[in-house]
Amino acid sequence: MHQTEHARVLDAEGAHIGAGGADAGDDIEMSLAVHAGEAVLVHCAHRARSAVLADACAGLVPPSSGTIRFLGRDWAGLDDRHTQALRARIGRVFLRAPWIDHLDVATNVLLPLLHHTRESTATLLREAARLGRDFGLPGLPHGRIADCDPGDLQRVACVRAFLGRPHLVILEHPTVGVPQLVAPLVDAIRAVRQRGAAVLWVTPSEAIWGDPALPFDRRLRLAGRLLDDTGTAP
Amino acid sequence: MSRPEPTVAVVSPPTRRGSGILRRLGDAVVDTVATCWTLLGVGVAVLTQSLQPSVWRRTVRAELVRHLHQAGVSGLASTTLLGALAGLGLVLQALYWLGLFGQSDQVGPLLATVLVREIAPLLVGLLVIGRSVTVGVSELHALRDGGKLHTLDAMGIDPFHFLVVPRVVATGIACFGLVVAFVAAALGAGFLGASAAELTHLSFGAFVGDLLGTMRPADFALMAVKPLLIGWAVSLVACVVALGPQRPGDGPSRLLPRAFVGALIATCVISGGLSALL
Repeated sequence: MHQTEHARVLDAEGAHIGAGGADAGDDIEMSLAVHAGEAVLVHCAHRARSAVLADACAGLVPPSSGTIRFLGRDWAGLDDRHTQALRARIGRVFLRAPWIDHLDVATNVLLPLLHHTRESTATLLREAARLGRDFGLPGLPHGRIADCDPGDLQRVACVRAFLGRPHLVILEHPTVGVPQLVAPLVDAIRAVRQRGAAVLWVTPSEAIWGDPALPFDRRLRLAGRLLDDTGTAP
Repeated sequence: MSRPEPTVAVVSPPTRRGSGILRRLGDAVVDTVATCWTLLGVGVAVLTQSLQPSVWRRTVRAELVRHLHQAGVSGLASTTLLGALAGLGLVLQALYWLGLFGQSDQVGPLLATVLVREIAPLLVGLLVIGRSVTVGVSELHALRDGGKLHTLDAMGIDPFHFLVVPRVVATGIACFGLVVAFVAAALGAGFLGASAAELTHLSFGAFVGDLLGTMRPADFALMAVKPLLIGWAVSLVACVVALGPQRPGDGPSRLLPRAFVGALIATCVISGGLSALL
């Protein structure tokens, strides 16, 4: 069993997150603890709320009350430098605006690791190509974002999320448009869990949420304003 | 204490019209001062951040190289051509007219003043505005509009470090390099033209030596500082217009003219101000 298996990676206590819209019903009340090596599946049908939830976990949306901690540190108490260093430990499939258009596909994939680590580009490219093959690509696509097939881009987004050694992987609607991604995602999740990373998968799909074959420790629903550990496994 | 009721005179049409004009004038003045203040603040922030080695991670360095290529290398051919055309006219005219009045010894100071101090930085500034400001505003506005700044933030990448610092620094360096290329092309073309027209019998080395000999230290300083500051300011204007506070309905069609005019004014102010100072 991994040594850090019981450490809390993500810990939200009574966090009230304003969704930014005029409707207070969009706000989220979150109480959640995700431990190292754990995989949590959250059902949320709304794109905007899924993104807000993921942003809150990554410290991008400060809660108006309560706390959200990542690796034991409260996002609210960190300066920019430490915040950025911690975000480097989060791999994420973005639902909104995932790509920096003026950079090519490969640079987009490697960008967080090129920025935060000193790993050689060649090593990162090799690792990305290996992950790309795991996700059904012939390797890591090159060329411009605009020229890439949307399905391939979704696979590439998964490659970016799992590349490096993230402590937390946040997957926002990762299989939208590419349902074949479920199987490779499950394999990738198994691999990162074995080395102690936590996974938070947010899905709008009832089929995925209700599939007992998928290896999640907990299944939660963002029902109304509330997200807590009272969700039931199917 | 009760507030006095407004009188009819306060809301009469002439007064309303007058106050409206004053309000618009006041708004324009406040906007201008606020923009200048923002530019100054962002400029100082870029300067202080660019002096910190930790900012220059490999992704930021890669952006610096990209912008150097975009603003500098890509503009080299057009700058050289423009410099050659300007030099041909300027050097030939100077040699011809000053020779006619027996003041050929004034060719060096004239070229140093007109070409090196004034024309080269100004024309290169205009070229950089045309090439880089439009691209910069479009690119940054698209990133902002598309929510990509948020994505960078989510990856732990400071958008200011990644998008603004390398862009501003690179444009300053590129502008300096282009001014050197402009002056070199102008002198080369001017010398060739003058030799062909038999207006000078000097070698190229002696011709350039004459010019350099008449330049004061302030001229050399100006030749370096002016383009650096112009490039810096031009890029800064693009960044502030594209990423700064925007009014409802602002898009590229409104931002581009605003950035163009702002960059043009900044170029003229820096050029004129530094010439007056040095």
